[in-house]
Order: sequence, then C-alpha cells, then structure tokens
Amino acid sequence: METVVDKRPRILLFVEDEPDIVELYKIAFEAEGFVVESVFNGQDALSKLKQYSNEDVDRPTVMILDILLPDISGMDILKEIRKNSLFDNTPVIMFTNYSSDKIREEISNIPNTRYLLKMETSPVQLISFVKEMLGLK
Amino acid sequence: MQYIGQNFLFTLSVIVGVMAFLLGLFVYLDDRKSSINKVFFFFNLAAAAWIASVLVAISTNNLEVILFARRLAFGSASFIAFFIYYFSYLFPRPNRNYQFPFWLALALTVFIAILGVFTPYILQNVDLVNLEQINSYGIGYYVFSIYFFGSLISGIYNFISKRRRLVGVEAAQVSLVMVGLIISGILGALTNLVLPKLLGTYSTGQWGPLSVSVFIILSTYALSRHHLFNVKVIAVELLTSAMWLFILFRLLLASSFETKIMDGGLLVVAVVFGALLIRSVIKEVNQRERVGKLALDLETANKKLEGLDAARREFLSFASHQLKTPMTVIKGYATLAADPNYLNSPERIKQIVTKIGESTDQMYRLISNFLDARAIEEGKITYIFKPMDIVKLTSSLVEEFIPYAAKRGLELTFGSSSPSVTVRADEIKFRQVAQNLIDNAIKYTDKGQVKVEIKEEDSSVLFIVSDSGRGIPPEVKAHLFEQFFRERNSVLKTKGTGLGLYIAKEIVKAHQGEIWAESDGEGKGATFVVRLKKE
Repeated sequence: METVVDKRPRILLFVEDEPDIVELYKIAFEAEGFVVESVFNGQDALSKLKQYSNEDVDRPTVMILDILLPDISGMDILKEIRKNSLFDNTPVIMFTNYSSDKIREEISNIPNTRYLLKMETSPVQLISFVKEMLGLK
Repeated sequence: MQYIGQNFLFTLSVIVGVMAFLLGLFVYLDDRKSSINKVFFFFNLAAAAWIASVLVAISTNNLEVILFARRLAFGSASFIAFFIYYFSYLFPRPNRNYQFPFWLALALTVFIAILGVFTPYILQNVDLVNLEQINSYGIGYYVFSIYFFGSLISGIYNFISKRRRLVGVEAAQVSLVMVGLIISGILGALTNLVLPKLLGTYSTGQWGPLSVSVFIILSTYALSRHHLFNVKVIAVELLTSAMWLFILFRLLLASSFETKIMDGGLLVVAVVFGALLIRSVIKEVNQRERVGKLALDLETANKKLEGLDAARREFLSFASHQLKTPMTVIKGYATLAADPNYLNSPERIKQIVTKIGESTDQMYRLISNFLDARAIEEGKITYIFKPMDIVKLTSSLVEEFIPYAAKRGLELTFGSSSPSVTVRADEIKFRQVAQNLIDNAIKYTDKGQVKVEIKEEDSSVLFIVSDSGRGIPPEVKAHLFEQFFRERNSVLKTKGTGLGLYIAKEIVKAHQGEIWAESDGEGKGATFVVRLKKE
C-alpha cells in the first residue's frame, strides 16, 4: 500500500509571470525530485486545471500561485481550485510580493492554503513549507 | 367690448412683432459670427414682416392695400418656412450626414415669395363684405401650402432625429425648440392658411401674429441656455428699448405742447440712463464670465493635480513592487549558493552568479529610471551635445541586444540608408532613448521580429524601431508618453516602470527632436520613430 503513493511523480504546478522567479524555484524544487510545471498567466492556469480533471493526466501534488498576474488574479484561480473537489487534498501556496492583510486574512480561512511573501521566503524555506503541508516532514 | 378686445389684440400683436424684431437683432449683435444667431435673426425678421403685413391688412378698409398686405404676408411666410428649416439644420449643431443646399433652397423660396407677392397665382383677390375680408385663392395656394408644410414637417423631423442622439441640456433645448415650432407652426398655418381657405374669410387671421410668440419665447429660452447669447444682456436691451418706444409713442401722440416737452425730456433721460444701464450690465456679465472661466480653469487644474497625485501614489506602490522582483531573485540565488545541496557543480555556480548579476542590472535600470524622471521633473538634467554617428551607435546597440532577443525567440535586425550619419546629440542620453525603445519592442513582442532602422529624410534623420508585437490600442496611444502611464492590461506583464517613454520624450525634446508611435491597433505591431536634425 505505501509503495503506491511513493512511485507517483511529485508534480508542482507553478503559476508565476516572472520567468526569473520561475527559473530560481525550478532549480530548487527539481533538486528535491519535484517535476515543475509552470504557466505564466491566469488563463493558462485555468486550462491546466481543466486538463487535470482528465483521468489519465497526473495531477499536481502541490500548487504555488502568484497573486498579481497579467490577466486574472491568483485569488480567482484559487477560488476555482477550491470549488473543485478533485483538489481538496492538494495544498496551495499563495506566493507573492503583494503584501496585504486583507488577502492574508481571506486566505487564512481557506483550508489547506497558505500565504507566503516571496521576499521573506527563500527557496529552501519554501521547500520545507511544501514538505510540511504534504506531511513529508 | 369687442372694440376694446380687438384693440387689445392689435396692440399685443404689435408688441409681439416689435419684440420679435428686436430680439432677433440683439441676438445677432451679441455674436455676429455665429450662423445660428444669424439665422435666428433672419427668422425673426421674416416673422416680424409677416406680423406687420397681417396687421396692416386688418387695420384698413382699402382693398388695394389689403390685397398687397395679404400677398406680402405670403412672401414673408415663404421666408419663415425657409429659415425654420435652416434653423433645424444648424441647431444645436449642423447635420453631419448631408450638406444643406442653401442656394437651391433660397432660390425656391424667392420664387415662391415672388409668386405670392407679385402674381395672383396664390392669392387671387380679396373682397370686403360687411367688413369681412373674403378671399379667393389661385392654384399656387396648394404649391405654397405644400412648400410651407413640407419645410415645417422636415424641420420637425430634423429636430426629432437630432433629439434622439442628444443628451442632457442639448436634448432639452432641442425639445423646447421643437415644441415651439409645432405649436406656432400649427396655430399660424391654421389661422392664416387652412381656416381662411375653408371659411373663405380672413376672420381667424388676426390671431396669427400671437402664434409666433410661442416659438420665439421657447427658442429664445433654449438659445440662452445654450449660451449662444447672454440672456441678461438681451433682456435688459429688450426692456430698455421697449421703454424708449413707449415714451416715443407717447411723445408722438401727445396733444399739448407741455406734454410733448415733458415726454421729450423723459425720452432723453431714458435714452441716456438706459444706454448706461445696458453698458454696465454688459460689463458685469463679461466680468462674471471671466471669473467663471477662471474658476473652471482652477477646477480643471485641481482635478489634474489630484489625478497626478493618485497616479504618483499608485506608481510608488507599483515601483516598490517592481523592485521586489529582482530583489527576490537575488536573495533566492544567494540562499541557494549558500546551500551545498544546490551548489554542486561549476555550471551551477556560474548560473547562480549570472542570475544575480542580471537581476542586479535590472534593479539598477529600474532605479535609474526613477531617478531620471525625478531629475527631469526638477529640471536638473544637463546635456552635453557633441557630434555623434547615430548609425555606429545604433548598430553597436543592436549587437548588444541580439542575445536577449534570441533568448526570447525573436529576430533582431538593423539596417541603415547610409553608412554614417552625424547628429548633434548627448551620446549617453540618446543611447538611453534608443535602448529603451529597443528593449520595449523586444519586451512587447511575443513572436516574430524587431527591426531597427536609420533613415535619412531631408535635413533630419529618423531612428525607427518596428516590431510584430502586441501593438498599441488607439486609446492607449494618446497617453503613451505621459509620466506614470502604463497600459492597464500590461501593468503586471512586464518589468518596466512606466517612465521609460516619458524619459525618452523629454530627452528627445531636449535634442529639439520629435518622438512618436505608430500602430494599427492591438496585435498589429508597433513602430516608434525618433526624428533628430542632422548636423
């Protein structure tokens, strides 16, 4: 029973419009054995979510979302994710430099979701938070 | 009783006629250049002439005079119809979809007026039976009726179709004029055209002059609301001249010498003081208008300042957010570099160090832009103008950008109409402009190419950057070179500050050059051009 879970690739969906930031975290997560799937805007993120509803597509183990995106707010994507019961057990990290108490409070009420500031979270710390949320620590 | 009533009606009609004439005159004098005011004047003139002819016709028993006056009424009514339609064409703004055939319409009007006044085709004859004026019309009566009702109905139609496209004050004005036209037109035509034909007598004609007053009152009100003339000045002018006329009539009708002397003295005093009164009202109104304009200017300036302040605040929060991105990257790589788990190969070290270097450059560019914009605003930029080869500078700049463009999958090319062109410029500052435009073109182009060209044109040289990128929507193009302006949709798409084009414009301005953008719209690419004078 235990081996079944371990064999599946750990997929990270990273929604972020800054390529430099994507590259940075990709290096860190890949070194930890994650497969990083990245999209640069909200529309692409939504179509990814649709794809994941397919039976034969591997779903992400964790999702990291920026809030300020060029087209759709990361908060709206989060709402879509939390509406879908397929992702009930998928941890989501709202990862942004947009510091807002209102958004922080809003996120604190959503289960399995965290709010982290990019400037205050190094790649190593982020990995450790992800592992914690996945119960790997 | 009937005599008094008729006399009263007659006096009232005289007043309406005189007022119509004076009102038209004053409105015209208030703004002689306005064609609406001019047409309004001619309309009132025609209406006054018509009222005068009707009044002459009902105040005499001389058949010849009656016939001529009645025919004159047809002549002036033709012009009333013409000016009604012309007014509906002009007010509040001329119809855009067609040109009024002024001369053709005027020729038709003159033809019908001549037919009415000098021939028996419209009004054949007038007879007096028991003091009632019996008329007999000719075949032209129908021509006239078609012409008159045609103008009236198309004038009303004009107003109705304009009314639909208007809102607010203008819509209300058009409604007022339209209602006035309908009431006056129907009453006037009924009392002097339709009923006289049906009854065979002019018994209803005496009411005609009063019908005109409805249109005059409503359109005057509408025009004054439109600020085509100053209602206060016109009112004072009207009242004063009414007073003068009243005293003048008294003077002319006075029987005794003493009364004549008294009324004459009164008239002189009234004229002098009336003129002074009109002058002072005009002065006061002008002053108030100036103050009003000043207040409006202040309000506009204040709004602009408020807008600028809001933009500045938004910009500050945006700028600090923009700075956080390269800082995050630098900090992130720095922590990775300190972790032996990640720093496991020479390639990795090189990658990390390069990334830190690139992000530092990006931060430097952002901060320089903020500082430059500040310096420009405070007038603290100094330029060192020297002869510079713009072809050489551009070509080396393009070389520098090729790897960056290639990384984004774009083709970057350079072409020049001649191998060397010298301009007088501050090399560092111009380089900044060129860099900014090329960088923008690459940033806003997702696929395709970016073309940089130098073209000579008479005594100037053009630096052109064109791309196959996202293009510029027309509403954005107007604000592109403003400080703090960022296209709303791209606020978070790019790394820019929203100051680049503002700085570029200011630098080009200091070079006595021009900068502009061309684009057929969203998704259709953009071209930025800088024009500098050749040395």
